[in-house]
Amino acid sequence: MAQDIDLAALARGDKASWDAFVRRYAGLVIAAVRGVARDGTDFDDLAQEVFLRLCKDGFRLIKTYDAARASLSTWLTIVARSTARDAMRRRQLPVTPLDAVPEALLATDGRPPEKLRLPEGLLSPRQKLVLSMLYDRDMEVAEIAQTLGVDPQTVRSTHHKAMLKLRSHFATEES
Amino acid sequence: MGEPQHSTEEAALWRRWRSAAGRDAPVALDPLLLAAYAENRLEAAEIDRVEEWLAAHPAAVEDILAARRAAHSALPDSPPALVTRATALLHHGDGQAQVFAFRRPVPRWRAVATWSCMAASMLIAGVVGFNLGSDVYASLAGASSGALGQELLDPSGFLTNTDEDSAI
Repeated sequence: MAQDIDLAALARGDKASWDAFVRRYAGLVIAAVRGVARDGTDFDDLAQEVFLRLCKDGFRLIKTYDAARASLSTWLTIVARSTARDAMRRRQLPVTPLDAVPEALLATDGRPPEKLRLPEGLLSPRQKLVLSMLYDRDMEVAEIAQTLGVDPQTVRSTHHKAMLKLRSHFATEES
Repeated sequence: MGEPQHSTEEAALWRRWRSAAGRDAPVALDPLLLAAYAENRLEAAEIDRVEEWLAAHPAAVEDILAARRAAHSALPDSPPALVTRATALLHHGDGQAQVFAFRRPVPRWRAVATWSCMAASMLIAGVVGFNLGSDVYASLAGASSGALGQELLDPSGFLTNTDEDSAI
């Protein structure tokens, strides 16, 4: 899809390449941003933030793109959505002046919080992802299977094995 | 085997694990790695790395799905207003991104209204000023031979000869 965009020239900051790139991909960028933004958000502002991220610091981000690894549309959708999400998070951050925070809340006893020790590699990355999609994103098994490119039975089995490990781990810890 | 029992107990187990494990995954992941994952172009070790990250950032799972949909669809049309704004980010020739971001183009009617208001206010100020000046001039000219004109030109009467002066 990117055959008519000279990516090398674009990364050098060539104005004609930049204009061609924007004309070609602005629709994709705004579609990606719309998928993340909430109602009432100005999509054009978010889309412009994506383009700004692409061209700032001497096109640093565009220089990291490698056509051998992924298509430009896929990469651009990922970049656009993550940029839009970050931008919305920044806009939402509640800010409290330091002076307004009671001193008691700022005081610490100097000891780092105690962290439970978990066995390294108890759950595999795939098992964690399946559990996260099931319980954090409330995704259906079929959706998860499609996302991971496996069959639904594999998702069920991954979930089952992960739960066995968790139950066993916490049972041992409690006893 | 039926659907997994997504019981409260299992969800609680997962949350307990998560809170104990913390969020050690890096805050950001190279978008190219995620894009390659979306297109199933990664080796096993890289898949683990991405899935570890996705498990810690579940909102990004939807990015993967959206990217796959985008890769299999025709490119949407580009809105002209956005094209204008985004192309203006790059200053011609020098390759430096110019930060003109987030300044909306002023609508034409608003620009016309602004300039019209400015022109009208200048016209009104000019006409009123001219009339005031003209009135003052006319009143001065009309009274130049009279006492008022004399008073205005020489309020102390220093320059005028009076009877007392001539007597000295």
